[in-house]
Amino acid sequence: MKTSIVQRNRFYAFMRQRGVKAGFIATVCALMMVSAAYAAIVSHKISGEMPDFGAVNLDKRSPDGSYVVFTADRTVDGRRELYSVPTRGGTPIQLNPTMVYGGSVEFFSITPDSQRVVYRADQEEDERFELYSVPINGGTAVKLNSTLVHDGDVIIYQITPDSSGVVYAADQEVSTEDELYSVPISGGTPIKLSEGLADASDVYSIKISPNSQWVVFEANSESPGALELYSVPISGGVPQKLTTAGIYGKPKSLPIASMSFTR
Amino acid sequence: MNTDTDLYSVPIGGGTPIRLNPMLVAGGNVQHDFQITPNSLGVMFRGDVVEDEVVDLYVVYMNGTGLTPLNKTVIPEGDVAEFDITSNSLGVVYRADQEVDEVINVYSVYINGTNRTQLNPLLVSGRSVEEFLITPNNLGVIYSADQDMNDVLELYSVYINGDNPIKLNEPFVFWQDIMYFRISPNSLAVVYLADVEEDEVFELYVVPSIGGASIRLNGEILPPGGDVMDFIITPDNLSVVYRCDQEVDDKFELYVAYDARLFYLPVVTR
Repeated sequence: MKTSIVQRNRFYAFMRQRGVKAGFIATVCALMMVSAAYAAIVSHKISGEMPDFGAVNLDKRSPDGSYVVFTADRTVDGRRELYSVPTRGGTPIQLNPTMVYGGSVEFFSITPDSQRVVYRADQEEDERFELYSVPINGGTAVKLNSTLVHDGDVIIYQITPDSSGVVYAADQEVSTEDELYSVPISGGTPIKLSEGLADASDVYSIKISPNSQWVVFEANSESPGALELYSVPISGGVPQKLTTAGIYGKPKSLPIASMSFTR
Repeated sequence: MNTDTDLYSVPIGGGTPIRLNPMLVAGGNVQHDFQITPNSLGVMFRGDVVEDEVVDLYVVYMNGTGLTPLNKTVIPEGDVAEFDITSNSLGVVYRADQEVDEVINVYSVYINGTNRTQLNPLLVSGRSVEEFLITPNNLGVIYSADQDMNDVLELYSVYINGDNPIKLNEPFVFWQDIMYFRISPNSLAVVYLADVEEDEVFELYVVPSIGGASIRLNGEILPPGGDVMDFIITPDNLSVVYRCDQEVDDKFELYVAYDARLFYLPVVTR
């Protein structure tokens, strides 16, 4: 390093003696500009080699840009499995374990801290969709929901903004009754968040507050056709109804995008 | 039966909901695409508040005070079609046919309703601004419109105050179109899909957001039927990941494009 600095100083001294330092810098700048103008764009495949039937179905990049996560049927025609690959290329890593016949990854999300991937798949029993979490660079996929009742499914989920947990709705305890749970991102015992809602009520949509402390959800607890808005601490508690009769309690379905939060 | 949809705010832990919109005209509604300002002080919403089926844009404080209309009073049959708030909460950009019915222009306005500026030049009947994005640095707006040729969507850049309007793509002919575009996180580049080489074959290009030469990012001219389906710009602004049937028609695979010589997209060098 020291030798290099001495050499560089000698070089500059030489250039100064010749009175061409300014010209040299100008030349370098010009070369950089020419280089930019004639950029060498490279494009290469990062999803790896695929059989004739294979195709990438869905892809997302990690928030930090280091990984691309995608689903593709690379091994069995029509079976969407989950892969991650460094953005600049490398060998794609399969994130889900071996699946049952008919199984597929239906949807996935990357945590805001880019460390894990959460996905919904029927990987253990065909048509029974459960929720899993796996490190983005590969490792053991952990099931996040508890054992589901017969015909039970995880319906919807959302990752907390601080990447610490997942909130999901599932008919986990009673078939066709979608209830709300929170669970740590790397697995654990889910906490039921819809405790106290009437039997046979369903949770329809979820939104987590930007500080990851509250969950707001829509449910039809009071009347089958009327959606009401509730909030509950993510750590558990009694859901608080936010709407009042006659304001929100009209038979309609409000898209989750219509629910917003102050920060 | 009352079918009006109103807008309310309520403390997240529970409390009394406050209605944010004024009394609606019979048949009026607040649209579902309302947004809370990034600084959490206000809510912006579209609604046919004054006249049924005439949708205006409003901002109101979270406590229900200070309701301010943001668009110029639209013509009968006119509507505010879409809006977005700058990330610093100071401004709003919106599309509306507030001058001529079905001619949709793009406008910027301060959040207090002042300094409303039309960002695109006057459009002839039948033409419209199709889509817009605010640059992440809040200085500019990129939009697609059939501004210069009917039914040919091209890409334009303009400062958010209306200065320095430029076309970003090389001038198109009748069969060329911009399909989709995104701005790099550092606001320097616009990446877009367009059928430039062959009709309906959508390829990937990058252009500096302040204008310059467009460079194709997908490596080869695509095979017949080939398309770049979608893309994402990496957060470090260095590369673009795209999904494309680049080798076999309808076999979509993932690719990354970057500048091998400089190791970053050429536009970033500006």
